Amino acid sequence: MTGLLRKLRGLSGGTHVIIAFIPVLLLALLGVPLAKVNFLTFEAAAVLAAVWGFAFSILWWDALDEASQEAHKFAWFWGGSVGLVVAGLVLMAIPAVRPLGDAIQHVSVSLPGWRPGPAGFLVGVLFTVLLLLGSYSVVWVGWWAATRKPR
Amino acid sequence: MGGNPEAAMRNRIRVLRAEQRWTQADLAKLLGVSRNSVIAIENERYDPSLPLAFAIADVFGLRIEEIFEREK
Repeated sequence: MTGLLRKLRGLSGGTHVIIAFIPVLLLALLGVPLAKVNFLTFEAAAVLAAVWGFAFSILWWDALDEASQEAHKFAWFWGGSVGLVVAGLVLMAIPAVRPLGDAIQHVSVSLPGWRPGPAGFLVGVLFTVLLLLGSYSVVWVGWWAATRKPR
Repeated sequence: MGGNPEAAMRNRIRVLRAEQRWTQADLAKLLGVSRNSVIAIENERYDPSLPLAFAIADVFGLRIEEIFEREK
């Protein structure tokens, strides 16, 4: 394993995803509207980001010690499950909660480059992912915090 | 015969480490784990796997049962 690969292995999976998204971030920083970016270019950058992030997440996971892996597994099950249930309940409640539905519709149509239909779907996916990540993070922090107290 | 596999595990790692005048970071480096993991094991909040338990026994030059015991 070369020195560069060893250094890359030490970075977190999230850092690798950020690195992989540098081309997309550069486009955004240069002020290129996403709607003007060639669709295939954008898709290629996204696929590259996903592949890079996945490959180095495997190396990162392999480098974690067993307690750190256990913390992530615990957070994945409990944090992920709770987040998914909450997201499901909220999404099922949207038809009954008119203001929330209207707010999501408003956000959907204001996003650049997407029509209301697909954008609404995108907002739904992002909402679910954010809930999952939030719940995951809370449980992960809680797992480590609990280990600080002597039994 | 047998025993309760759900019984909590106790360990003497904190005492043994202090006898060696090692910091948690020292022990973590010897075991190839993070300092947070050493804290979790010392506080008996995380039970190490058998391979890690053997590694812990090795660094102290003891047998596993001299370090870990089941809670009565």
